[in-house]
Amino acid sequence: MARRIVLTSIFIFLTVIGLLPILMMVLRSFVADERFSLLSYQGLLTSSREWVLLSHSFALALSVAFLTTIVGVPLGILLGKTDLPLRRFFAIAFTVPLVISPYITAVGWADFFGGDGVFANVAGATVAQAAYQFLFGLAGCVLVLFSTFLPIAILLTITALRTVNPRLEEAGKIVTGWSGVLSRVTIPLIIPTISLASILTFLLTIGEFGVPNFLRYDVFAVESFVQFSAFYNFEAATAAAVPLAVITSGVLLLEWFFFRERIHQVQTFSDRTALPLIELGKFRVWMFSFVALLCIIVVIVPLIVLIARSSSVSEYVAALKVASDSLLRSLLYAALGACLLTLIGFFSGYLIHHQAMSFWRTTDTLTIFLFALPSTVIGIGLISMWNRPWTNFVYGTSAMIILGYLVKYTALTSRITASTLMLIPNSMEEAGQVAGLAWMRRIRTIVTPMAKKGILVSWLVGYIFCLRDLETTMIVYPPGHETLPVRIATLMANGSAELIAALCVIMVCATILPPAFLWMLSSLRIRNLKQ
Amino acid sequence: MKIQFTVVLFLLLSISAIVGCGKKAANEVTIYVSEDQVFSEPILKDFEKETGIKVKPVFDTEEAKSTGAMNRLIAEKDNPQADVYWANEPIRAEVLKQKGVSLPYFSPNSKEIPDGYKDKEGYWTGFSARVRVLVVNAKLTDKPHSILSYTDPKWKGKAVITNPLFGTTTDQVAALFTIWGDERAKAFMEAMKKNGVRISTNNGESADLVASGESDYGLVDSDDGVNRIRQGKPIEMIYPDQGDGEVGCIVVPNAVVFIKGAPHPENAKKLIDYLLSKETERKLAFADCAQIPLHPDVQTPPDVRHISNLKTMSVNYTEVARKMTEIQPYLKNWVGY
Amino acid sequence: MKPIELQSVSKYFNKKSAVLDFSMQIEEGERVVLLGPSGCGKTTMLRIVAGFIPPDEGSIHIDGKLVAEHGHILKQPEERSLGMVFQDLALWPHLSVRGNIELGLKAHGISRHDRVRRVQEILNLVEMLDYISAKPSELSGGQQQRVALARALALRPKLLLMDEPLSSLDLELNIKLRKEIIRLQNALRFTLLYVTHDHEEALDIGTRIVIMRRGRIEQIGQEKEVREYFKRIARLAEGAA
Repeated sequence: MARRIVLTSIFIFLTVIGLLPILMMVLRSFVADERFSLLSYQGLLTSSREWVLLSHSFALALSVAFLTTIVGVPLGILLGKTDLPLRRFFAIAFTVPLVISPYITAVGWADFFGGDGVFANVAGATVAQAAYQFLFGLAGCVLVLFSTFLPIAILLTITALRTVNPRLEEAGKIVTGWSGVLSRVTIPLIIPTISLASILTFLLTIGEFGVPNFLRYDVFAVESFVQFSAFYNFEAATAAAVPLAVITSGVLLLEWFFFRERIHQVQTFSDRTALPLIELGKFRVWMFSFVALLCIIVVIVPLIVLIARSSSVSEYVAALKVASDSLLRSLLYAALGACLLTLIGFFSGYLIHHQAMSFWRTTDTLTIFLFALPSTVIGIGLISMWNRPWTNFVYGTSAMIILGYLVKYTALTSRITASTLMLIPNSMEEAGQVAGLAWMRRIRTIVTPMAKKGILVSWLVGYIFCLRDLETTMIVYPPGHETLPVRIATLMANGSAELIAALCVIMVCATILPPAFLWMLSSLRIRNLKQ
Repeated sequence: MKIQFTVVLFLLLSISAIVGCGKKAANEVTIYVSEDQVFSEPILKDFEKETGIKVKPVFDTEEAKSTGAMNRLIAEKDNPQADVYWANEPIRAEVLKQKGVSLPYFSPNSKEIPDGYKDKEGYWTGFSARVRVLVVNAKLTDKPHSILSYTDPKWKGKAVITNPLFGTTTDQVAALFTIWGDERAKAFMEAMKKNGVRISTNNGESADLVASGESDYGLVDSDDGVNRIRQGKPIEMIYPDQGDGEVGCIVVPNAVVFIKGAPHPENAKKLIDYLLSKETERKLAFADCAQIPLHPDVQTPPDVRHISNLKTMSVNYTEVARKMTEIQPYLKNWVGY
Repeated sequence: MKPIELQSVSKYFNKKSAVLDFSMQIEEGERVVLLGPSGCGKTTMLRIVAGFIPPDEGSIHIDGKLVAEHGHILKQPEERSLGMVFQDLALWPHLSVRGNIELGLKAHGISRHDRVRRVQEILNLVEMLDYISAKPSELSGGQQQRVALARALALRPKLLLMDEPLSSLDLELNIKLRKEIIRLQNALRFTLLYVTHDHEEALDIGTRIVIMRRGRIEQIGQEKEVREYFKRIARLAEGAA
């Protein structure tokens, strides 16, 4: 009974806060002069240019998803499963680009390769000029978005690795070396999580507009943006988002077809057992150099530009003076958003993993669909729904920002939970059932402790995405209560570059604070255990 | 148990903080602002200090980065949250009039503002203007003095223009269409494209590209130009088409709008009066945005030329707004979207 | 406890029958073994009795109460007062041995004092009291089996289900634990429904053996009858060869 009530409530909640506003927008897109009309879809249906833009978006999204997967998964293995020096530091460092607006990263790269940039001083004007030209187009977009979304593949791989039963790997080690174990045992077991990382990256990239616009690579997402920004035509903007929804459905179908097979493991190891680390031996120096080089390219270079611009203490003082209230609000909303996302995502993920009710597939599709939609469509949809006299107690408060987070990012925490639960045998919960534990008690005492690492990753991912959110927050934040990303974006218009850079560095620090804190805690815990 | 208690306590405190933050104070006014925050925020803070009325702003981003204030105003039309809108150019104000989002208000401080810079029905009033100028790299010996340089083969591939779908560049292009007519204006646009013009995402980027030498010149707002010059960047500012028979440069005033259904109408009027005052224009002239007062006798710094000293385009903003809507599909095609 | 009645139980997966027309009555105190090769439906039948999956056809009564019929589960597993030892043991890795056993006792509202007593009693019975604070990962295979058994018996269920609990153990340990199970069953007098594919294990443990093949019951009988049956099968196989 409790299970039915809770899971149904989650579904209803997601439908009311997410689907209904969007449905209203979509229905509006089929109406003109109070009659059914395809006027808003005319451009899409008749123009061949849209197909070209769609193919560009596809090429970009596929490239970024592919590259982040083939680099991120091995990197996740290196950082999560080997004796690579400073691996925890690297794991946190690679998270940094995810926090910074990709637009700022693109500007940073342009500055780096620019005429009077660092690269020109080192490599000469001609080489720098060639690199600069290379940046503008598909290659540059791939570089920027690869560095931004690489942390997703890394984080999710590290999480998934921790749930692989070491006995299975040990069994493989008897007959083959680590490369064989990784390719035949470990990676196949974590394929659902890898596919999740690829899908999320694909969807994030295909909806991206700011970076391709700056780097002059025309993509499909521009259509929806132009309809909002230039034409103020909500109906056409929504219509322009529909193909993205179709693509999302296609991606989901592929995923169900190829990656839905469940692989359960016999879980008998405890937290205290050290996971078997792969000793890199003579490759240690090479691997360290490779990871360090990648970190320099993907993390340090864009940061150099920011830090170089904001190098004086007075800039940081000025930045805090200008934006301390926004910073505090961002931290609060992101933390609260992450908590709620983790809670709702947990039950949504549970529903999906166990196929517990008949609407599990609808829930999964709904959350992914909302994730893929342009944020502005979501924002306008939320306004349409909540900006009414009788809901003013919600609209006009920061609750709208939290609602925006929940609508946009539940897919992340839901899927992370579902992936985590996939690796916990059903018999664990069944044993609880047989022992007489009611459902909620089983969740609390059995499932949650066993899934706690996945839940933590879920919280961290939710926190990062809430903290960096701009487009949805921009539309719904209550006047006078902007968050830090909104502040940075509004100050960028003729604001001092030094101030903006300082604010971005502060934003980075705010993001890495929780994982750094948790890292310290876990190091202390391990030290205490050893003692 | 301790962790659970802490989490629940945190959630309860956060929720109360979040709900509490939206509570409306008795004496406040909400303004949505499209003028750059760095310039507009000090004015609003001064208003707060002088009147004791709490100002709750929503600021906008640069045109091509996100969709903020305008979309919110239109989306909130049936249950407005804003009292006032500070537009950074009059076309947006006209759009709001066309969509029924605004109400007329004739501020006492608008009397001395020339008629050409305000809506005759009172739906918007202009103040503190920019003009569209050419910023030119200081190293150039031969400099352009007209927007027609964009079609001059000697400048092939050397010029930059901001995306004409957004912001004040849209105003300029739409104005040219009203003055030259569709045929001549389209010919100009096609020739410009054929001449290899580079398209940037916003005026600031255009100015920066010229300053770095990647482009020789570009058409931007005067505040973008003055701003870079005051930062010591190597650019010069040229007021285009000032000669006889030439079209002049377009004036782009800020515009203030009274929102229909404003929750605090009296405070809204006070804020509008304040924004339209000579003192506000003086402050905006001396600020880094270097905006040109529309009141005739407001003091300006030496590097800000007064409107009366310039040859300006003779435009009807209402007509420009209508033309803008008409040519948008053409511009979308021109940009390549 | 009244007999357990399984009447014409059938279960289909993707239109293929996993269990077909399974009917039998299990008396109190019996040790019934479901024996058959992999895929014959014995685990499916066990899970139907446990209440994890509903029978598509037929009905199940436990202790006189209808618990499931025709596609519906009327009483959830937690309402059937049974114990179960899973094939993978399903010991909760984050809890100690004490924690694994206590969790079910807490859920039944048993007082702290009684919980402590019962945990000690049952661990004593399975000779695992010395490991009360250990985590499952610190125990050997055989030790984990005993703990899983103790957990299942801590609530003094009238019916214990065991799904190939000894399949991963070596022969010596397997035989030892079979004797343990019989000893415990004699001591606590619960009804046992046991699943295995091992003939000797079945013959050792079961007071009645149900041989299953392709979802159906092929033979039900006691040890002597079943041994005769196997001899007949072996002769037939030799003849065919």
